[in-house]
Amino acid sequence: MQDRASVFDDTTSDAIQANALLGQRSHPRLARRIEARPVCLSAPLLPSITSPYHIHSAHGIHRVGIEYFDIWSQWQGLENIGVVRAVAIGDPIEPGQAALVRIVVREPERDIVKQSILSRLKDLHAAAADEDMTIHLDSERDFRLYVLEQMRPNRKPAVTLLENGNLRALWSDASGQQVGLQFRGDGWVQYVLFARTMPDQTLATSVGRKMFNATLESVRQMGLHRLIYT
Amino acid sequence: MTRISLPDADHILRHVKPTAFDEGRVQGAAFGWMPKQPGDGISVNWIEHADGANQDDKIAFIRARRRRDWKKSHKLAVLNIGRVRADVRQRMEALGLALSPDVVHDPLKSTDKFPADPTHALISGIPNNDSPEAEAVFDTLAACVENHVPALPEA
Repeated sequence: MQDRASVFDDTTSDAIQANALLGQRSHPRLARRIEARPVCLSAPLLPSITSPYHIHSAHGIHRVGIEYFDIWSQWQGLENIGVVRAVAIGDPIEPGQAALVRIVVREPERDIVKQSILSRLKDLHAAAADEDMTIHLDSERDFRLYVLEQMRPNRKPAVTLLENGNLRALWSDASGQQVGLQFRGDGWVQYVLFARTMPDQTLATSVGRKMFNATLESVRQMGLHRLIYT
Repeated sequence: MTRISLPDADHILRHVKPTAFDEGRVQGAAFGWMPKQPGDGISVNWIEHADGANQDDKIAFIRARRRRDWKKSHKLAVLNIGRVRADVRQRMEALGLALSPDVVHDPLKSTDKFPADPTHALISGIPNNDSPEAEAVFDTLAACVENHVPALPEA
Protein backbone atom coordinates (compact mmCIF):
# COMPACT_ATOMS: atom_id res chain seq x y z
CA MET A 1 0.00 0.00 0.00
CA GLN A 2 1.40 3.31 -0.94
CA ASP A 3 0.54 6.62 0.62
CA ARG A 4 0.03 9.72 -1.35
CA ALA A 5 2.21 12.66 -0.42
CA SER A 6 3.20 15.98 -1.76
CA VAL A 7 6.55 17.46 -2.58
CA PHE A 8 7.47 21.04 -3.23
CA ASP A 9 10.42 23.30 -2.85
CA ASP A 10 10.67 26.82 -1.55
CA THR A 11 10.68 28.33 -5.01
CA THR A 12 7.19 29.07 -6.17
CA SER A 13 6.74 27.77 -9.65
CA ASP A 14 3.96 26.14 -11.52
CA ALA A 15 6.30 24.76 -14.13
CA ILE A 16 5.83 21.27 -12.81
CA GLN A 17 3.04 20.03 -10.61
CA ALA A 18 3.86 16.80 -8.95
CA ASN A 19 2.48 14.40 -6.43
CA ALA A 20 4.71 11.94 -4.74
CA LEU A 21 3.89 8.36 -3.97
CA LEU A 22 5.87 6.92 -1.15
CA GLY A 23 6.98 3.44 -2.04
CA GLN A 24 6.90 0.34 0.05
CA ARG A 25 10.58 0.70 0.79
CA SER A 26 10.21 4.20 2.13
CA HIS A 27 11.13 5.29 5.62
CA PRO A 28 8.48 4.10 8.13
CA ARG A 29 7.60 7.62 9.17
CA LEU A 30 7.29 8.73 5.59
CA ALA A 31 5.23 5.69 4.79
CA ARG A 32 2.44 6.82 7.09
CA ARG A 33 -0.45 8.50 5.47
CA ILE A 34 0.58 11.95 4.42
CA GLU A 35 -1.66 14.84 3.74
CA ALA A 36 -2.03 15.61 0.08
CA ARG A 37 -1.57 19.12 -1.15
CA PRO A 38 -0.57 20.83 -4.36
CA VAL A 39 3.02 20.42 -5.32
CA CYS A 40 5.55 22.51 -7.16
CA LEU A 41 8.99 21.49 -8.29
CA SER A 42 10.94 24.36 -9.72
CA ALA A 43 13.19 22.36 -11.99
CA PRO A 44 12.50 19.69 -14.57
CA LEU A 45 12.97 16.14 -13.39
CA LEU A 46 16.36 15.73 -14.93
CA PRO A 47 19.57 14.32 -13.52
CA SER A 48 20.54 17.66 -12.07
CA ILE A 49 17.90 17.59 -9.37
CA THR A 50 19.69 17.69 -6.06
CA SER A 51 18.12 20.61 -4.26
CA PRO A 52 16.24 20.05 -0.99
CA TYR A 53 12.49 19.66 -1.07
CA HIS A 54 9.86 19.53 1.62
CA ILE A 55 7.30 16.81 2.10
CA HIS A 56 4.29 18.05 4.00
CA SER A 57 2.51 15.51 6.14
CA ALA A 58 0.19 15.42 9.10
CA HIS A 59 3.29 14.92 11.17
CA GLY A 60 5.07 18.04 10.06
CA ILE A 61 7.29 19.21 7.28
CA HIS A 62 10.02 16.81 6.26
CA ARG A 63 13.05 18.23 4.55
CA VAL A 64 14.41 15.81 2.02
CA GLY A 65 17.08 15.98 -0.59
CA ILE A 66 15.92 14.35 -3.75
CA GLU A 67 18.52 12.69 -5.86
CA TYR A 68 17.91 11.69 -9.41
CA PHE A 69 17.40 8.01 -9.63
CA ASP A 70 15.84 6.80 -12.83
CA ILE A 71 13.77 9.09 -14.99
CA TRP A 72 13.45 6.35 -17.59
CA SER A 73 11.19 4.32 -15.40
CA GLN A 74 8.42 6.54 -16.71
CA TRP A 75 8.42 4.35 -19.77
CA GLN A 76 7.95 1.19 -17.80
CA GLY A 77 4.52 2.25 -16.65
CA LEU A 78 1.82 4.62 -17.56
CA GLU A 79 1.77 6.82 -14.50
CA ASN A 80 5.23 7.42 -13.20
CA ILE A 81 7.44 10.18 -14.41
CA GLY A 82 10.36 8.74 -12.55
CA VAL A 83 11.74 7.18 -9.46
CA VAL A 84 13.79 9.47 -7.30
CA ARG A 85 15.67 8.79 -4.14
CA ALA A 86 14.71 11.09 -1.30
CA VAL A 87 17.20 11.38 1.52
CA ALA A 88 15.95 12.88 4.76
CA ILE A 89 18.10 15.77 5.86
CA GLY A 90 16.08 17.26 8.71
CA ASP A 91 13.46 16.70 11.39
CA PRO A 92 11.29 14.89 12.04
CA ILE A 93 12.97 12.25 9.91
CA GLU A 94 16.34 11.02 11.02
CA PRO A 95 19.00 12.72 8.90
CA GLY A 96 20.47 10.36 6.39
CA GLN A 97 17.45 8.10 6.26
CA ALA A 98 16.52 7.31 2.73
CA ALA A 99 13.20 6.81 1.08
CA LEU A 100 12.25 5.95 -2.40
CA VAL A 101 9.74 8.38 -3.81
CA ARG A 102 7.91 7.88 -7.02
CA ILE A 103 6.77 11.12 -8.53
CA VAL A 104 3.72 11.39 -10.71
CA VAL A 105 3.74 14.57 -12.66
CA ARG A 106 0.63 16.55 -13.25
CA GLU A 107 2.20 19.22 -15.29
CA PRO A 108 0.22 21.84 -17.18
CA GLU A 109 3.06 22.04 -19.68
CA ARG A 110 2.78 18.34 -20.47
CA ASP A 111 -0.97 18.58 -20.81
CA ILE A 112 -0.50 21.37 -23.32
CA VAL A 113 1.97 19.24 -25.27
CA LYS A 114 -0.41 16.29 -25.22
CA GLN A 115 -3.25 18.46 -26.49
CA SER A 116 -0.98 19.85 -29.22
CA ILE A 117 -0.08 16.34 -30.35
CA LEU A 118 -3.73 15.25 -30.32
CA SER A 119 -4.61 18.34 -32.34
CA ARG A 120 -1.90 17.48 -34.85
CA LEU A 121 -3.22 13.92 -35.12
CA LYS A 122 -6.66 15.30 -35.86
CA ASP A 123 -5.18 17.57 -38.55
CA LEU A 124 -3.27 14.63 -40.02
CA HIS A 125 -6.46 12.57 -40.27
CA ALA A 126 -8.12 15.42 -42.15
CA ALA A 127 -5.09 15.90 -44.39
CA ALA A 128 -4.83 12.16 -45.05
CA ALA A 129 -8.45 12.08 -46.19
CA ASP A 130 -7.83 15.10 -48.39
CA GLU A 131 -4.69 13.55 -49.90
CA ASP A 132 -6.19 10.08 -50.34
CA MET A 133 -3.69 8.67 -47.86
CA THR A 134 -4.25 6.12 -45.09
CA ILE A 135 -2.99 6.18 -41.52
CA HIS A 136 -2.20 2.61 -40.44
CA LEU A 137 -4.15 1.71 -37.33
CA ASP A 138 -1.23 -0.27 -35.86
CA SER A 139 1.06 2.72 -36.24
CA GLU A 140 -1.37 5.15 -34.66
CA ARG A 141 -2.08 2.76 -31.80
CA ASP A 142 1.65 2.48 -31.05
CA PHE A 143 2.14 6.23 -31.43
CA ARG A 144 -0.62 6.95 -28.90
CA LEU A 145 0.58 4.30 -26.47
CA TYR A 146 4.28 5.11 -26.59
CA VAL A 147 4.36 8.86 -27.16
CA LEU A 148 1.24 10.01 -25.34
CA GLU A 149 1.04 7.46 -22.53
CA GLN A 150 4.57 6.27 -21.89
CA MET A 151 7.02 8.91 -23.06
CA ARG A 152 4.81 11.87 -22.19
CA PRO A 153 7.21 14.45 -23.60
CA ASN A 154 7.18 18.01 -22.38
CA ARG A 155 8.22 19.16 -25.82
CA LYS A 156 6.01 18.56 -28.83
CA PRO A 157 7.60 16.59 -31.63
CA ALA A 158 6.96 17.26 -35.29
CA VAL A 159 4.43 14.59 -36.25
CA THR A 160 4.20 13.50 -39.87
CA LEU A 161 2.40 10.91 -41.92
CA LEU A 162 4.69 8.94 -44.20
CA GLU A 163 3.82 7.65 -47.64
CA ASN A 164 3.79 4.10 -46.21
CA GLY A 165 0.94 5.07 -43.85
CA ASN A 166 3.01 5.15 -40.66
CA LEU A 167 3.22 8.01 -38.19
CA ARG A 168 6.57 9.52 -37.27
CA ALA A 169 7.62 11.75 -34.38
CA LEU A 170 10.71 13.91 -34.59
CA TRP A 171 12.38 15.96 -31.88
CA SER A 172 15.26 18.10 -33.09
CA ASP A 173 17.33 21.11 -32.11
CA ALA A 174 19.14 23.90 -33.90
CA SER A 175 22.47 22.09 -33.75
CA GLY A 176 21.17 19.26 -35.94
CA GLN A 177 20.60 16.70 -33.21
CA GLN A 178 17.44 14.68 -33.52
CA VAL A 179 15.34 11.76 -32.35
CA GLY A 180 13.18 10.44 -35.18
CA LEU A 181 10.82 7.57 -34.39
CA GLN A 182 8.65 5.88 -37.02
CA PHE A 183 5.98 3.71 -35.46
CA ARG A 184 5.70 0.56 -37.56
CA GLY A 185 3.20 -1.36 -35.43
CA ASP A 186 3.52 -4.36 -33.10
CA GLY A 187 5.93 -2.38 -30.90
CA TRP A 188 8.53 -1.91 -33.64
CA VAL A 189 10.13 1.47 -34.09
CA GLN A 190 12.38 2.65 -36.91
CA TYR A 191 14.73 5.21 -35.42
CA VAL A 192 17.05 7.87 -36.84
CA LEU A 193 19.26 9.47 -34.19
CA PHE A 194 21.75 12.28 -34.75
CA ALA A 195 23.80 13.29 -31.71
CA ARG A 196 26.57 15.83 -31.21
CA THR A 197 29.00 14.09 -28.94
CA MET A 198 31.75 16.72 -29.33
CA PRO A 199 31.41 20.41 -30.26
CA ASP A 200 32.28 21.26 -33.88
CA GLN A 201 32.40 17.62 -34.85
CA THR A 202 30.28 15.61 -37.23
CA LEU A 203 27.03 14.37 -35.75
CA ALA A 204 27.10 10.76 -34.62
CA THR A 205 24.46 8.81 -36.52
CA SER A 206 22.54 5.77 -35.36
CA VAL A 207 19.71 4.23 -37.37
CA GLY A 208 17.83 0.95 -37.23
CA ARG A 209 14.73 -0.88 -36.12
CA LYS A 210 14.13 -2.09 -32.59
CA MET A 211 11.32 -2.67 -30.17
CA PHE A 212 10.19 0.50 -28.44
CA ASN A 213 11.96 0.08 -25.08
CA ALA A 214 15.23 -0.90 -26.75
CA THR A 215 14.96 2.15 -29.00
CA LEU A 216 14.58 4.41 -25.99
CA GLU A 217 17.65 2.87 -24.44
CA SER A 218 19.56 3.88 -27.59
CA VAL A 219 18.15 7.40 -27.25
CA ARG A 220 19.32 7.58 -23.66
CA GLN A 221 22.76 6.18 -24.43
CA MET A 222 23.30 8.90 -27.01
CA GLY A 223 22.22 11.56 -24.51
CA LEU A 224 19.29 12.59 -26.71
CA HIS A 225 16.52 12.32 -24.11
CA ARG A 226 17.09 16.02 -23.41
CA LEU A 227 15.51 16.78 -26.77
CA ILE A 228 12.31 15.16 -25.53
CA TYR A 229 12.41 16.55 -22.00
CA THR A 230 13.72 20.06 -22.15
CA MET B 1 21.15 9.18 -71.11
CA THR B 2 23.72 11.29 -69.31
CA ARG B 3 22.20 13.96 -67.14
CA ILE B 4 24.09 17.10 -66.31
CA SER B 5 24.77 18.05 -62.73
CA LEU B 6 23.24 21.36 -61.67
CA PRO B 7 25.39 24.23 -60.32
CA ASP B 8 26.11 24.31 -56.59
CA ALA B 9 25.03 27.93 -56.31
CA ASP B 10 21.54 27.30 -57.73
CA HIS B 11 18.36 26.19 -56.00
CA ILE B 12 15.67 23.55 -56.31
CA LEU B 13 12.02 23.43 -55.33
CA ARG B 14 10.30 20.44 -53.74
CA HIS B 15 6.54 20.07 -53.44
CA VAL B 16 5.40 19.35 -49.84
CA LYS B 17 2.06 17.98 -48.60
CA PRO B 18 0.66 19.14 -45.24
CA THR B 19 1.23 15.62 -43.87
CA ALA B 20 4.99 16.36 -44.14
CA PHE B 21 4.94 19.86 -42.69
CA ASP B 22 4.81 20.51 -38.96
CA GLU B 23 6.27 22.82 -36.34
CA GLY B 24 6.69 25.46 -39.05
CA ARG B 25 9.19 23.30 -40.92
CA VAL B 26 9.36 20.96 -43.85
CA GLN B 27 10.02 17.48 -42.46
CA GLY B 28 11.86 14.47 -43.84
CA ALA B 29 8.56 12.90 -44.90
CA ALA B 30 8.50 15.41 -47.76
CA PHE B 31 11.35 13.56 -49.46
CA GLY B 32 10.08 9.99 -49.34
CA TRP B 33 9.88 8.54 -52.84
CA MET B 34 9.55 5.35 -54.84
CA PRO B 35 11.37 4.86 -58.17
CA LYS B 36 9.22 4.59 -61.29
CA GLN B 37 12.13 3.66 -63.55
CA PRO B 38 15.89 2.97 -63.35
CA GLY B 39 17.93 6.08 -62.66
CA ASP B 40 15.00 7.80 -61.06
CA GLY B 41 15.27 10.14 -58.08
CA ILE B 42 13.39 12.66 -55.99
CA SER B 43 11.43 14.95 -58.28
CA VAL B 44 12.30 18.67 -57.94
CA ASN B 45 12.39 21.82 -60.05
CA TRP B 46 15.46 23.89 -60.90
CA ILE B 47 14.44 27.43 -59.97
CA GLU B 48 17.14 29.39 -61.82
CA HIS B 49 16.29 27.59 -65.09
CA ALA B 50 12.67 28.82 -65.06
CA ASP B 51 11.64 31.87 -67.04
CA GLY B 52 11.02 34.96 -64.99
CA ALA B 53 12.64 38.16 -63.76
CA ASN B 54 12.53 37.21 -60.08
CA GLN B 55 11.89 34.20 -57.87
CA ASP B 56 8.13 34.81 -57.71
CA ASP B 57 7.93 34.80 -61.51
CA LYS B 58 10.09 31.70 -61.74
CA ILE B 59 7.91 29.87 -59.23
CA ALA B 60 4.83 30.90 -61.21
CA PHE B 61 6.50 29.41 -64.31
CA ILE B 62 7.10 26.14 -62.46
CA ARG B 63 3.60 26.18 -60.98
CA ALA B 64 2.06 26.44 -64.45
CA ARG B 65 3.85 23.23 -65.47
CA ARG B 66 3.03 21.08 -62.45
CA ARG B 67 1.89 17.54 -63.13
CA ARG B 68 0.42 16.83 -59.74
CA ASP B 69 -2.49 18.26 -57.82
CA TRP B 70 -1.17 21.16 -55.75
CA LYS B 71 -3.47 22.60 -53.11
CA LYS B 72 -3.55 25.73 -50.99
CA SER B 73 -2.48 23.70 -47.96
CA HIS B 74 0.68 22.54 -49.76
CA LYS B 75 4.14 24.15 -49.62
CA LEU B 76 7.14 24.45 -51.86
CA ALA B 77 10.49 23.95 -50.15
CA VAL B 78 13.54 25.81 -51.45
CA LEU B 79 16.93 24.06 -51.16
CA ASN B 80 20.43 25.07 -52.22
CA ILE B 81 21.92 22.49 -54.56
CA GLY B 82 25.48 22.69 -53.23
CA ARG B 83 24.34 22.14 -49.68
CA VAL B 84 22.15 19.21 -50.70
CA ARG B 85 25.08 17.59 -52.47
CA ALA B 86 27.53 18.14 -49.59
CA ASP B 87 25.26 17.32 -46.66
CA VAL B 88 23.70 14.23 -48.22
CA ARG B 89 27.10 12.92 -49.29
CA GLN B 90 28.44 13.40 -45.76
CA ARG B 91 25.42 11.69 -44.23
CA MET B 92 25.63 8.75 -46.62
CA GLU B 93 29.31 8.30 -45.82
CA ALA B 94 28.43 8.25 -42.11
CA LEU B 95 25.81 5.59 -42.88
CA GLY B 96 28.23 3.54 -44.96
CA LEU B 97 26.13 3.84 -48.11
CA ALA B 98 28.03 3.35 -51.36
CA LEU B 99 25.94 5.70 -53.48
CA SER B 100 26.76 8.96 -55.24
CA PRO B 101 24.16 11.60 -54.51
CA ASP B 102 23.72 14.35 -57.07
CA VAL B 103 21.21 16.90 -58.36
CA VAL B 104 20.74 16.47 -62.10
CA HIS B 105 18.71 18.07 -64.87
CA ASP B 106 15.79 15.94 -66.11
CA PRO B 107 13.63 18.08 -68.40
CA LEU B 108 10.19 16.64 -69.14
CA LYS B 109 8.73 16.57 -72.64
CA SER B 110 5.21 17.71 -73.31
CA THR B 111 2.39 15.14 -73.23
CA ASP B 112 -1.26 15.16 -74.19
CA LYS B 113 -2.09 16.54 -70.78
CA PHE B 114 0.92 18.61 -69.81
CA PRO B 115 3.25 21.19 -71.35
CA ALA B 116 6.98 20.54 -71.36
CA ASP B 117 8.77 21.27 -68.10
CA PRO B 118 12.36 22.39 -68.75
CA THR B 119 12.96 22.96 -65.00
CA HIS B 120 12.39 19.38 -63.89
CA ALA B 121 15.34 17.85 -62.07
CA LEU B 122 16.13 14.89 -59.83
CA ILE B 123 17.97 14.35 -56.59
CA SER B 124 19.60 11.11 -57.65
CA GLY B 125 21.82 8.46 -56.14
CA ILE B 126 19.97 8.21 -52.86
CA PRO B 127 18.26 5.25 -51.18
CA ASN B 128 14.65 4.82 -52.24
CA ASN B 129 13.29 2.17 -49.95
CA ASP B 130 11.67 2.23 -46.56
CA SER B 131 14.94 1.66 -44.72
CA PRO B 132 16.28 3.56 -41.70
CA GLU B 133 19.17 4.75 -43.87
CA ALA B 134 16.79 6.24 -46.41
CA GLU B 135 14.88 7.98 -43.64
CA ALA B 136 18.14 9.49 -42.33
CA VAL B 137 18.86 10.88 -45.80
CA PHE B 138 15.35 12.36 -46.02
CA ASP B 139 15.89 14.06 -42.66
CA THR B 140 19.18 15.44 -43.97
CA LEU B 141 17.39 16.85 -47.01
CA ALA B 142 14.78 18.44 -44.75
CA ALA B 143 17.57 20.13 -42.81
CA CYS B 144 18.79 21.65 -46.10
CA VAL B 145 15.51 23.51 -46.68
CA GLU B 146 16.26 27.24 -46.67
CA ASN B 147 12.70 28.47 -46.78
CA HIS B 148 9.26 27.55 -48.06
CA VAL B 149 6.51 29.28 -49.96
CA PRO B 150 2.82 28.45 -50.54
CA ALA B 151 2.34 25.97 -53.37
CA LEU B 152 -0.47 28.11 -54.73
CA PRO B 153 -0.53 31.90 -54.64
CA GLU B 154 -2.36 33.57 -51.79
CA ALA B 155 -5.81 34.78 -52.78
